Amino acid sequence: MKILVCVKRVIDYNVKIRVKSDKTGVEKDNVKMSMNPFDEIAVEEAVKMKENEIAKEIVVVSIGTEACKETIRSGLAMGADRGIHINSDEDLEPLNISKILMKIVENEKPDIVLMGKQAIDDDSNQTGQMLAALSGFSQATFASKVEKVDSFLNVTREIDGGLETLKLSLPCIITTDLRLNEPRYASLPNIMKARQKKIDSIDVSTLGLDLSPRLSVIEVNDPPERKAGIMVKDIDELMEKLTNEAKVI
Amino acid sequence: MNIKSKPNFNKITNQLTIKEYTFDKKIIHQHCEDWRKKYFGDSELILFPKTVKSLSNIVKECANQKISIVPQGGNTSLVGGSVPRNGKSDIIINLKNLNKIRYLDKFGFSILLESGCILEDIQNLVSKENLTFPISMGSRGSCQIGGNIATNAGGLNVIKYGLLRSNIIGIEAVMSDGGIYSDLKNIKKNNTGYDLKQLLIGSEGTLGIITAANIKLFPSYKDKNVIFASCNKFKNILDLYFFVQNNFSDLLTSFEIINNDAMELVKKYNKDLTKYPERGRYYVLIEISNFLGIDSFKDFIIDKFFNLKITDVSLIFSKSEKENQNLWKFRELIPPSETFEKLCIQHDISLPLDKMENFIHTTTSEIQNLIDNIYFINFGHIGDNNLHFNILSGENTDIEKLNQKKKLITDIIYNNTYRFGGSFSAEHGIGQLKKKEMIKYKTKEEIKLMREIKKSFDPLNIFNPGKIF
Repeated sequence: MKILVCVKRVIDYNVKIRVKSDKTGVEKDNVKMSMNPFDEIAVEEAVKMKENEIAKEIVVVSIGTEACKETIRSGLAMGADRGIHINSDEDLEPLNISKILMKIVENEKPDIVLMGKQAIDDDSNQTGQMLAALSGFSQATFASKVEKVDSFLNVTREIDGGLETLKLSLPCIITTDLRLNEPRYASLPNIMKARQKKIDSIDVSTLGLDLSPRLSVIEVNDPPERKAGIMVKDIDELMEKLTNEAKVI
Repeated sequence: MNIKSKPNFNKITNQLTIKEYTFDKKIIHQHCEDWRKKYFGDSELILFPKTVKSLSNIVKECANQKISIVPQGGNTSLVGGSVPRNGKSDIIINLKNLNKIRYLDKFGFSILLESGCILEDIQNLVSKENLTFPISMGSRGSCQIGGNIATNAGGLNVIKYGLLRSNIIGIEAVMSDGGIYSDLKNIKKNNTGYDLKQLLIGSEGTLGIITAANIKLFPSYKDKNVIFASCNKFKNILDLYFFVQNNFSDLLTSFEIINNDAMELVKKYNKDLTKYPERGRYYVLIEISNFLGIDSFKDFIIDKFFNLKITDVSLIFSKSEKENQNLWKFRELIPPSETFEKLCIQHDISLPLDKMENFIHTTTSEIQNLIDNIYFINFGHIGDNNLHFNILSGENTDIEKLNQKKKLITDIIYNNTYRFGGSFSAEHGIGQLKKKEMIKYKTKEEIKLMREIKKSFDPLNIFNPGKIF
């Protein structure tokens, strides 16, 4: 079985995001970049499936600038077998990412496509679902447990009311949630092995896709600053403020 | 019996506004106890002067009346250096209101600020300008820069930025006659006679009250990567240290060791840490920071590590800032985890790197001969020769026996430190805690010179008496 894992290079989760002064986006220069944490969970799940002899080959794909190769190599160091880098300097929206991934799916013919439920930079939560629509694969989003039963995958997903388990036929797309697993550290020998693994580079223009944007960003703003709290004298004052100022009672 | 006449505090408080002093026992009480709750003194008056001028007038008056002064910052001393003595009528001068940023020189990479500025506030302020403040330590949220300077405090980044004293360009201080000493020229080279500020740095408030300082700033880094090593031989640590120094030179921002007992302690009390590095007798945390704005910094580091010829070391590389922080927890959670056990005897020592292994081996077996079922918590900024050598009780420890042997254990540790060419206080200073060791391990000549300096700076002995000597 072959698994395709889609990974995105994003601003590191722990970096304080700064909005550009012209409000066209956020400051990306000179900030730490890492693999989207949900995608890292997807890589870990794929590697576990390989260790459990469910999967034979893991291919990691990333779309973006040359620096994405570093992100791909992170995945290879965790245990993936080879990488595909789609070179693009554009900031592509989920639909276009899905179209590009569809091309890769057509070429690679994976049995399972794994990716994070969303990327922490734009929080779109669309790519997995759109790719499922384009490919006609069965899909399970927000996976917190994946089990192979005969020729099917049982995927437990986190929903508002609790947990739901889906039985998926292959090929399928699974988007991963936080509680699925804890990604491993990369050891030096595995990083060294990753250096020997192949990364194919494909320029996005050679795919023959219409990637013109459907969305345009009008303005990016900081979230409103939270006002400092105040100390109230007594319950009466609290009630007065809740009724007349906050108007919540 | 104190035959001194009752001090006339009016003449002191006259110099200040009503908000700059208090006789309130409750408030004074908070300033009389040290952070570790080992020292508790008393005082009738605490001052919070807002200007250097008024501080100077106060000191002049104190000198007139021979009133002794404890200068105090954030009161985070670990050796009882920032609290008054008991029954000696010391007054406290807390510097928290002297907290102006006087000048930030972005081009000259320096900042001129007053003593009461809180370390973390300074760090945040300069980071907004894309600069880095060279001093950092665990107590950064409450300690004040004046106290940091007065104690030549150590901390986290000494390996990269050097000792605190090497980052001070100039100092302003009120001297024992009320005079204001100032060499706040914003210049790094200034070779004109005795470098007096160096005497004030680390004087623990016994020579003068530091009121302002001009301090170096450094460029900021883009990102940082943590590498965590597990190994079984101390020699591996030294080889690794040599390797990273050679390959990364001043991109290296931390090199910390952790021994197995310390690692197991952290694991025991922090169940949320689930991903462990491979087991070893020793662990090393290496942090490398990207001051060069390199795009693929991880690749840059890994390229260098390809040439690592050291075997028997298992290495992991963090992939994200979250993993950086997770790996740092194995180091940072050692001191808080120690507090969960009944008894911990702490020692902040430093040793030459080539003697450290022998020291640890000798000292450990000597102490094991005295008492068993105890734990040896070794960790520290080994890049600065610093080693925390703490003896910790566990479930099967005979606490009463350990308490009895406490003094003996400390003597073994300090004696061996001396024998192997180390120091009995690496970064915490002397204060009240280590006065005995001061006399025991410093040479007569050193003590004599220090006393002469003290006499010449503070002939009436009004500044922080009872500390250091």
